[in-house]
Amino acid sequence: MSCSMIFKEVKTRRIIVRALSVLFLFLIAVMLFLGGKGHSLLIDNKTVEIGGKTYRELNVVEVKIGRGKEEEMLKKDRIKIETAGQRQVITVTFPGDDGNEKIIKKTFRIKLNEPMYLISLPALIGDADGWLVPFR
Amino acid sequence: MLKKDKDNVIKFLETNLVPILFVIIIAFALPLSGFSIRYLFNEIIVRLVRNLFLVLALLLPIMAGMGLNFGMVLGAMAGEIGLIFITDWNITGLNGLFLAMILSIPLSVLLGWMCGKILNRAKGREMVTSYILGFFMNGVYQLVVLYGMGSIIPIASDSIVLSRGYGIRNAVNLTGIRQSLDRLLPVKIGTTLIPVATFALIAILCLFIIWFRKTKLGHDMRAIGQDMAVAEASGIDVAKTRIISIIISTVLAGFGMVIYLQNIGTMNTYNSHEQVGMFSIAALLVGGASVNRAKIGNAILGVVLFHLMFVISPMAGKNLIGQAQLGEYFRVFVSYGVISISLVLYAIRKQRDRTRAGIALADAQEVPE
Amino acid sequence: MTFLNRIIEKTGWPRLIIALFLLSLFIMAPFAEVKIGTSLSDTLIRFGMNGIMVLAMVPMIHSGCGLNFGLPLGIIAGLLGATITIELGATGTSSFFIALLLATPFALVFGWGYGNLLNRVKGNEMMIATYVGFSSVAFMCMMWLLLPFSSPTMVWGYEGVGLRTTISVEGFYLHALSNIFAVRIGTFLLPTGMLLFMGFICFLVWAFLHTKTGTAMTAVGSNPVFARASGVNIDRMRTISVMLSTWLGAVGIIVYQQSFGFIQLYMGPFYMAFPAVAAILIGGASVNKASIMNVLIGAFLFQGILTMTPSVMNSIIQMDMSEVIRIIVSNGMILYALTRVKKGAH
Repeated sequence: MSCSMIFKEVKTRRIIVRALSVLFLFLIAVMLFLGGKGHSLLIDNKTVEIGGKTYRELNVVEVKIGRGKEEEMLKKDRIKIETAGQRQVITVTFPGDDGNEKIIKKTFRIKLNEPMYLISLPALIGDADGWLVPFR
Repeated sequence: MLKKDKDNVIKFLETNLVPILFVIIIAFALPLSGFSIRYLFNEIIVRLVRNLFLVLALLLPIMAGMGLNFGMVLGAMAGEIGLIFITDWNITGLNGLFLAMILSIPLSVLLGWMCGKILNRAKGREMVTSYILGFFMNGVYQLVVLYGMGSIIPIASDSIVLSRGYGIRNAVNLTGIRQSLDRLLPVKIGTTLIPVATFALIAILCLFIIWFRKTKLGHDMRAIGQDMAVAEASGIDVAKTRIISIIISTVLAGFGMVIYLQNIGTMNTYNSHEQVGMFSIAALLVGGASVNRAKIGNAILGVVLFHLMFVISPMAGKNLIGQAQLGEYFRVFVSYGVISISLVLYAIRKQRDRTRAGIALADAQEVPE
Repeated sequence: MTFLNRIIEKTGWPRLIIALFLLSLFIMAPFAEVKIGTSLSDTLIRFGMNGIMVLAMVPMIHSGCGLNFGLPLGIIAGLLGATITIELGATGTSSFFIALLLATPFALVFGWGYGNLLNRVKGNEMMIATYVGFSSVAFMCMMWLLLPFSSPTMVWGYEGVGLRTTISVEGFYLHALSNIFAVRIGTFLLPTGMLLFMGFICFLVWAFLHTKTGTAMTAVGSNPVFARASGVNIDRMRTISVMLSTWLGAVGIIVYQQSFGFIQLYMGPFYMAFPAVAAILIGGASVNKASIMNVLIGAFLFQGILTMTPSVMNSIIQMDMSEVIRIIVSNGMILYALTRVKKGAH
């Protein structure tokens, strides 16, 4: 009796180990998927009107996504930055009203199934609601 | 003492005939080609990075006595399918690369299992069978990728689908993962960029192979490789172990294909895997391996020598005869010739051993009068 | 019921499936608006074109050398005969026979060397045959560039050095055989000459197999111990079978060319062994047993599928899967044959 019980132990152990490894691989795959899914971010430096208020474009502004390259944008510019993952950080550097340099850093999440988003810098700086919208 | 030394020298020449031949050919053709050492060094590094993983995938089946695993093409196809999916889902960077590898695993296991089962039914003819199986699966692959994808298997990205609405395009741009592993830890020697990260991965594979040989499974495989009957008698499940060796080889081939393609950056959907099998096997044989014995050193030496010859042949041909085409045909001829010579040497040696064993057996059975 | 079971067991599932598939293609043809007349004559033409190369498999299977994956060697002999014939300027129907004549010494020499090689590697013939075939095609690729041919129809235009990849046989022996006694009924063209020639060669091989040498050859393959005991030189028989097989390959490619219209050099012959191997296996042969009947049935079935699939399936499914089907059918057939355990294996 005890012999077959020991045998079963090894067999079940093997099945558990295999199931756990498959699960482990699957979880890693999901993590890779979420972290690696590419998105395009269109960044606008144009005057926009949201909810009745007008947000003016800036003469010159620098923007970077995550730890990427600093991109300089002039009036009416639009640039495209490729990025991956759902959690993004945008850093905006621009000359403030008082002449000093102001830096705004915002963390935002984008949806998995939207390949492209539109960011309006004036709206972001003016702290409006709709500064980040999916681009269709 | 002298006779033993002479025997040793002859034995050395015999086992290493092919690499020595190759060194002679290269020594002759290298100055003809006119390439600089720096250029060749760069090319060698690139090709080592690209191909070494794939060649190493061939070692286990040889250890287990299955001969040259032409079925590694199946693993390559699995890797390609993984890459098609990550390109469709737009997974970039290292994430895409490793995800493609992970995606290839279940397919590789399935294909490797099937290949192993078929090879078990063709004992004694493993090499021809795996060779034909490669062709057969190529047909199935085309069925899936050229007809199934886009129609039955949903593909979201239009850029990789043919204009008729289904089937993947001939060339898929892997811009997302291009060189992602290679450029991870770049080290420069002179003007050459050395992809340290990829080499690290290859080194991990080497360590895995060395460790594997010492495990029980590894010992079993070596026993089967040496003598199937004896292994069977010792209680080893020969059929299952053989299948496992093919499965591991196929999975590794899948990974190797992903590494290969990330280095190139573009995938020839229908042609990339065809030559991969043949060139990997030829390279391994050029490094001095044989049908039943192969070491890591063979793989490294083989890739260097084979690809060196590959690079210098066209230019050498052009400077020698005036036609680069000749050099290109020459390298094709050498690739196939190398495999032919190795196969012939192996078969002759096997027959000689068999005759010797037969004579020894007959002698042992002689009844004294 | 057991009678049916016996038939199924004897023919094997893959062959039944293929035969039924072909039958269904023929039945579907009228609905797909494919003229049966043209299809049938196309099939017969391709049958005649490829038949002799399929026949080339028989001698080596009989002598135990396995499937002749090294057929390209014989094909190269045929190519040499063909190109030299054109170089010499022979034209007309007689040029066909001149090509055969010129190819023969090459085929015999190649076959002799190839046979000796195979004798040294008993047990691994098929793999080595494949790679010897490949290596020789690759070697000839270099030779086609270097050999001193000068006929303007064959050589590259500008430089005049090296042969072209495809050479037309128009004006030489194009349709030399096919047009002999050709019968035309509406859209149906029967290449009587070619079929008669093939029948003749098949008869020659059949007769040879029944001579003393031929039976010795068969004995070597089916029962080597008995053969040796009867005083037969096994190696010599094997070499003869290889030489015959190689010669048949040479004849086969020339017959193929006169129907196809072109001589294909360089990488042309590279994969040509595989359809021939698949065809004879489809016809019922195995790695160590083959008959002339296998050749005829197999070649017809195989070429039938190759001809019918594109036309019929394209009209019905609107998808051209013919290439993929060809790959799967031919290689699947070879796989099936390789994995069948022979009864009473040595």
